[in-house]
Amino acid sequence: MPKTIEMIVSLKVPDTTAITALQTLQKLGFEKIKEVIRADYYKFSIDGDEEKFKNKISKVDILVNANKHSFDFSIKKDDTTKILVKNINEDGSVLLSTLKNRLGFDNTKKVEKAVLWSLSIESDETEARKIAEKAAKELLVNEHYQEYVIF
Amino acid sequence: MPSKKPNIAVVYFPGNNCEEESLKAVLASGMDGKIVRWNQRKEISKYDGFVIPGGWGYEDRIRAGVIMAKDPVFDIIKKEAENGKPVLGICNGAQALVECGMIPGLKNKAEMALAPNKNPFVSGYYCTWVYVKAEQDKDRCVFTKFIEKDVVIPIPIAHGEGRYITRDKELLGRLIKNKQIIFRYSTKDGRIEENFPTNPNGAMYNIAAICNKKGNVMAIMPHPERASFIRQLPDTIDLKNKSVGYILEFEKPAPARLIFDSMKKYVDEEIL
Repeated sequence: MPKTIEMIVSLKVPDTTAITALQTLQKLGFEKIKEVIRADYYKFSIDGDEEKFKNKISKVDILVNANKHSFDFSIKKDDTTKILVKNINEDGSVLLSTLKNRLGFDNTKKVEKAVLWSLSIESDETEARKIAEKAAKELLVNEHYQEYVIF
Repeated sequence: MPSKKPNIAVVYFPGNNCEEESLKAVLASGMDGKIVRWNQRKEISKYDGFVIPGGWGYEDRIRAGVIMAKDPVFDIIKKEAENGKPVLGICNGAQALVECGMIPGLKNKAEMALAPNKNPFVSGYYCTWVYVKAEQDKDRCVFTKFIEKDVVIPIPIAHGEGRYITRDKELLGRLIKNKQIIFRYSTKDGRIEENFPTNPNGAMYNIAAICNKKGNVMAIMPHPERASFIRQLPDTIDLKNKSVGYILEFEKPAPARLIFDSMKKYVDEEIL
């Protein structure tokens, strides 16, 4: 039975995309959104030893550059409202091929890639969810080729 | 004949990189023009038409064209387009027109996307010469007044997100019915083949350019400004080959220049 491993890779240096997203959202009237953090999200299906995989994948330069990235193997539980955005019909085959054929990750069966947005919103949970939904539709997602979940 | 030349704003956003070539194509077609920065909003309405050039506006942050599309300058451009002024979005400019809902412009919101390319050999950015075929009669769109239906034009593409796509199952039918699909990727002899390399990015219905219902706004993914002089064409194109050895021939217009010539004709006849 393949195991599932999530990896979240974020920038240690200032993230200009997240800053632009915040500024644009505020210009669009989302005053209650106070901070935006962006991270790359990967989900791997693997056979074999989980710890060995985690140790090796975090050292692969194409996903994590230790000079500018930090990484984690679970989504941090905090007060932010999160939007996970994934391109529809993107099967991760290019990344999978690189991992298997060039970097020796023979036990990797599947890779999914997405973008994880964490929004700090000044409101209660119900309203924050509504605001995040609106922000997704107005800026962070184009539903003609992307899908998203909010949590 | 109007006493003045059309005055075109090439609207530059931070990160665009095709503004100079776009302006050259505008000038070569006999129009006046200027590169106008995105934040010079006060003066933008005085121009007779607009070109939104290619590049990486705002570094394509979030996704290609979306931050440009949310810029207040687009509110003015939208209004001017409603008054009939022509707007040509090239590559990154096309992405912005789609994101802001001016193209296809049926619901005043993003009705489609320019999604990442689907290409069997190259992931991401892809740059090559292709052919596009004019899909409509020449008077359907402001930018094809000199381009007869079925004419095939050599033109380069250079993008990572150029695949016209929509989740609206009825939209393609409406675009066909409204005659809004202006150019489609084709072979050199005009055959529409849906697979790579004829269709270089997997766009639905081989779409390379779409206009709005009125016909005065067009979003084109290939770069007409990079195919406006014979010297810009690759050696594999007959027109270029015939000119080798005759340096003055190289400065003559290549077929894609007709898009800018058409813009001039429209502004001369309808705006000035």
